[in-house]
Amino acid sequence: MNQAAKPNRMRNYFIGLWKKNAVPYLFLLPWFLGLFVLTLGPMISSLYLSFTDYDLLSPARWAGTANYEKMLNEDARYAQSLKVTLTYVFVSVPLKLAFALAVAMLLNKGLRALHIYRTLYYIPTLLGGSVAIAVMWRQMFGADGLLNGFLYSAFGIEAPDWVSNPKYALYSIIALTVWQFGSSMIIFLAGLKQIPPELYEAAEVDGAGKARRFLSITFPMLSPVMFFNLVIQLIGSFQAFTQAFIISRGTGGPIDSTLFYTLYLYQKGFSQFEMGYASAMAWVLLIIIGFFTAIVFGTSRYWVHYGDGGRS
Amino acid sequence: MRKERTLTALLLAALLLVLAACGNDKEAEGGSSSSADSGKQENVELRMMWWGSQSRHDATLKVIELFEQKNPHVKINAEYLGADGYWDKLNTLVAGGNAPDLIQLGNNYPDYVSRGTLLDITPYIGNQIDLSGFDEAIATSGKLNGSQYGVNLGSNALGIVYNTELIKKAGMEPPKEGWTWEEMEAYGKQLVDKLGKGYYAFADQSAFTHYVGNYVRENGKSLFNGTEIGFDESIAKSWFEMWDRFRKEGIIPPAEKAAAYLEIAPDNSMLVEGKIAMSIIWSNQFVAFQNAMQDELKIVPLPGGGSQKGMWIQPSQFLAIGKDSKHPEEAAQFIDFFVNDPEATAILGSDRGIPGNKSVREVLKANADPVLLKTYEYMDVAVNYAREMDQEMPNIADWDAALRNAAQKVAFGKSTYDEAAAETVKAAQDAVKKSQK
Repeated sequence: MNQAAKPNRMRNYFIGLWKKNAVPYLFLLPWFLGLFVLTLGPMISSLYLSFTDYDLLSPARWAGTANYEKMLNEDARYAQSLKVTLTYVFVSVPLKLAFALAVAMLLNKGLRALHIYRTLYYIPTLLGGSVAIAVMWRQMFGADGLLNGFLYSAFGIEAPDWVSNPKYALYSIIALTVWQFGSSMIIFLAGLKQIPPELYEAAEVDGAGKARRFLSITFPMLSPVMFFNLVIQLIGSFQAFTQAFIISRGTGGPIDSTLFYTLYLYQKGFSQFEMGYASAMAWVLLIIIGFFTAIVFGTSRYWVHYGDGGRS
Repeated sequence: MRKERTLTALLLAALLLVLAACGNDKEAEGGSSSSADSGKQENVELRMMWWGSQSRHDATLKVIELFEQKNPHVKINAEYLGADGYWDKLNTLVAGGNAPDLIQLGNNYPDYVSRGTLLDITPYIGNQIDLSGFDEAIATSGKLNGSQYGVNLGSNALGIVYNTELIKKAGMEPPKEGWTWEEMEAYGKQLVDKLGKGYYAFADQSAFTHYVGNYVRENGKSLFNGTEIGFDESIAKSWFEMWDRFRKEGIIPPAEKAAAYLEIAPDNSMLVEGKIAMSIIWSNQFVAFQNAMQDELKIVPLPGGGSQKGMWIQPSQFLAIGKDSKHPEEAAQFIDFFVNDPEATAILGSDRGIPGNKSVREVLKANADPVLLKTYEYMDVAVNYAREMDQEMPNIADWDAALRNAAQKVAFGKSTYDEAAAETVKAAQDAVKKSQK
């Protein structure tokens, strides 16, 4: 008797759940469809493809772990793309965050036309990786560009072509990224506004200097925002594509000096017909991003301070 | 509660509609093909895809419209873009089983034949497609292993364009046809001396795949001989050595400058900016380069002087039919219209190269403006310096990227000639091997 009742109760439970939640679930349906059809489906198929030899035009052939082995052991351009991307991430993310924080703190000084400055500084972010920006970047940092014109007329220095010299090309793209600090700045600014002014007043009364106030009040109070920005920027930087694609015209040159991971992935998949290899690269990238994000999360309890002790 | 139920019903209905729409597509397609057996003039929809500049888009669209007027039961949907993203898009469409009916291809068409993308159009030749007005060599240029896969849309050849104003400024005679590399180098040195700082004789085209092709052919070799690569490290080494010498002599721009200018289109060219006196282009680009600048351009054949003729006349593009096209007959009809119809060919002009149909060619040449006329005249000259073309190296895009890398490494002093040569040859072997898997 007991055993017959159990499935019944289960059934009733689900029917109850359905009656209660049918409408919300239906509203969620489009999102679920999107998740399964547009996200999970392609993800699973790319995982499968990463173990195959697939040239886009003829059917995929099973290749085992050949793609992964080739990537890790043989492919020098892959190693180069990894090096370029890691350099880019570890230089551009800290610089961009520092820059965004510095500007946010300046703007937080109670300027009168704050909203105008805020908008102005946000514009570069909106322009993003547009073609116009890349062209402008070439005009500014090219051999006969604005920067070199200035350096020559002011100091008589004959500077190199920053965009087409393999030594500096990556750094000119980093400069472009840092210049687009707007979205991080807005978030920092919002975070700064949340810090109660009483804290600063009390510290000042106690004779704390500027550096002290920054380290003991601003930084800890801002650390959750910092944490958020860091994670977002870290993930975004690993996936950087547009700037390099446009500035190097899709080549990643000169001499692969701006061959970003995703750019190489794109070349492999779409211009060299090696979609299996490109899929394998995408999965390795996912693991790399996961690894670094986990490190940030793992260390967060040592430096991220929540006002409520981290309970929320 | 009642409201809720209505809402649920509405949502379910909406969902059904969406699902139904998804499923309908296929049915509709199937339906039209089955009716093909019964009806005579049932409506036919074709898709055509090409790359090009705005002027090519406008002309091609006009021709499509004209064809639709004459064949009211056919509708052609056009998909066109610049050369940049073309192959990515085409490959994606093909991969999705969604290839267009009419596809514009370059000399890389064998890559698509080997992947089973193109229809063998041999049965339509002489029926829907009339190639009797074509020169034999041009008519058969879309043939591979005895089957025809595409129809030639125009011919072109490489040539050196030179800026007559810069050469006048230097007080020198214009370059002559039939030059050797040595003569060209000596000429370049003199030119740079006279023009002074900031000017260069030639563009750095050490990474131009077909220019390398010309160089190896001159020495009796080939990039690809139909089964494997037809050149070796020693010739690749001498190529890089020669260009590095040009660089040191200052007759081509330094590495940094060269890296900033691709010189493959007028929008990114030191020739157009008037800083370089000479550059190698495809003859069908001549009009575009001339239109982008004030100074008058002229065109002469590439340097030679080896044991054999290096140049070749090649089809610039083909029009092919997708293998899964549901209406290959109408597509073939359109191809015929595209290359033979007097009205259509007049609209298309010579933008895709010199047309293959002899009578079309004569009409276009008679009506050509002075700039275009130079292209026609050049082709008559180029024939004397050309021999039969080789089959294009498979996966040439792979090799193109590797060659650029190797050439830039030499330019920036990052690798020796030997290393660059080895890298170049290896990349070519890999590209060929990939097609034979």
